[in-house]
Amino acid sequence: MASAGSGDEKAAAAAMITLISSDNEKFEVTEATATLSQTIRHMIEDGCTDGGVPLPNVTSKILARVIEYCKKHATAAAGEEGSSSSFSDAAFLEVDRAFLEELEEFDDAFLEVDRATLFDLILAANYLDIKGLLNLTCQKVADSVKGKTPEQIREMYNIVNDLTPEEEAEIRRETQWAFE
Amino acid sequence: MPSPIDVDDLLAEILLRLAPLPSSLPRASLVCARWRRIVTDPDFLRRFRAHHWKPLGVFLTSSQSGRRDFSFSFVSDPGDSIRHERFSVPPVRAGAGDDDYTWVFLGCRHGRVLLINRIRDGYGYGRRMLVWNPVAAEHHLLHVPHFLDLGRHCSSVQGAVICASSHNHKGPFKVALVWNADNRAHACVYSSETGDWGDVVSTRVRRESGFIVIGFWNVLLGNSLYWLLFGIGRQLHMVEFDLGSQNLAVIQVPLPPDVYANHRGLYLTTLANGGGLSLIVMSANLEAQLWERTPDCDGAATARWMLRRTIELDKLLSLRPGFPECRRILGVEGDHNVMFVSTYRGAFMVHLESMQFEKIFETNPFSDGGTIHPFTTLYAPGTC
Repeated sequence: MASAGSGDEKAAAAAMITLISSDNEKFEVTEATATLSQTIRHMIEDGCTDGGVPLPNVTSKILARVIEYCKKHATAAAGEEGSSSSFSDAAFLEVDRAFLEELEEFDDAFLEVDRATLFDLILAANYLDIKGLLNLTCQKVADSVKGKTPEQIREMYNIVNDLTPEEEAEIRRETQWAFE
Repeated sequence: MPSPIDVDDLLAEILLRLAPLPSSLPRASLVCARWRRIVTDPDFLRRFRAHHWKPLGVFLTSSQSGRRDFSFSFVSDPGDSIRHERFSVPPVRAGAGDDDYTWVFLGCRHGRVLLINRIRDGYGYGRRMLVWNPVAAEHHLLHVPHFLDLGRHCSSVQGAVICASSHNHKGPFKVALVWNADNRAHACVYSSETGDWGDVVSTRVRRESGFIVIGFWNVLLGNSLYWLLFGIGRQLHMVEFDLGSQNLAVIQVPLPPDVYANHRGLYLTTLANGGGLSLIVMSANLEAQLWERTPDCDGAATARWMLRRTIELDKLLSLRPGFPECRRILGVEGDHNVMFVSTYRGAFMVHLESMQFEKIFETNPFSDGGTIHPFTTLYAPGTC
């Protein structure tokens, strides 16, 4: 029988989910960590997680990284929920600030990966629908083209220029100032 | 596995996060045809503007007269290249008898600031205007057009600066002035390309009694600027000035007058679906009613306005109930739909589209009745 009580809440918080990577490796994570993924959250809501959640698009290498991110950020989300109900006082703000700084440092270190891994993380974040991770990884790619010329961007990402010389001239004419 | 660069939706997610610099999207559009298609898509551009809603910084002025310098604070990361010193008003003489004049804000847009000189200890204006580009460290001194007698018959003059090619470094700009005099609203435009003011266009204002005042804040929608117009009977009006056709119109805002009978601020925004015109009506307890102009009308004159939603800023900003005197709307930057609020918990900016908010001052620098002027350098085609 379901009854509202602290015992049930503790049980819910400790509920574990098994995630299965494309290479058949199993990862045990808490529900709080797993539900940072909207995709997995919906599966849990639909009751389709018995026997584990197969993730055929995510390798064990990438899934391990994704879980690392989710664990850290699930703790952050829990902390936020705890503080939002009370009016923030100075002590709370201090704790929040220290924690946010720690989270930022974690994110910076998390992004220290090669390009192939970064791209795989984007695909995984998109498939699993983890907004924070998608934002973080896409921002990293966007930052990589900062200050680069169109030629340099093409070279970085092996993109073939299929604009006709006329089209290119037209864009340059319209926005000449951007290339000075 | 495909690269996210090859998936349109994911490439859009990446390009959305390009720095909001003037050169970002033009450069991306030159990479290849697919990149060009994505960054010129109207839906992408709407998302790009929403993603980069924060201004670079804000100018603050205090209500005390006799001050020449404004203060400036960054509210976004300025990057390495933009230094704070750039945001001190250039040492340009405001007029003959320099000490008698001070610069006051008419507006900021597209990385430029429009100032007009005013008599320091009185209500009159001088004859000079300054268009100032702090990031590029450039300024242009303009003379107020000779046909505009600011001292004699203008109860209000308002202005806007617009960059004609959406470009905030060395490109051309326009300055639009609107004012009312002799029961007519007037407008004229200065173009940096011709170096001169154009012809004055006018339209009749039906005045029933009292003074007519043009509101300070304006929005740019497509090619038209809009200001609220107060004082024509009980009904709210707005001034619409089309920069292309030079058409000037005074349009009724047909809301029931009791909607804004006890308002604590009326602001134009571009919050309606697809970026259409909308009006914020503030109540004393920080509730914002959002009225949208329906897009499916035949013309502005027959437009209907509908109440879309109410935004409870008190709840959003976790303010204790009561003490309405401790909170004040400082202004709404309607192009990007960012509201500035001063409260006992400090000053906040709120993006009214996404409801994201950020504290910009821990202590409230606006308790003396000062004003705020957000400064944005964002380039996104379609904003003008």
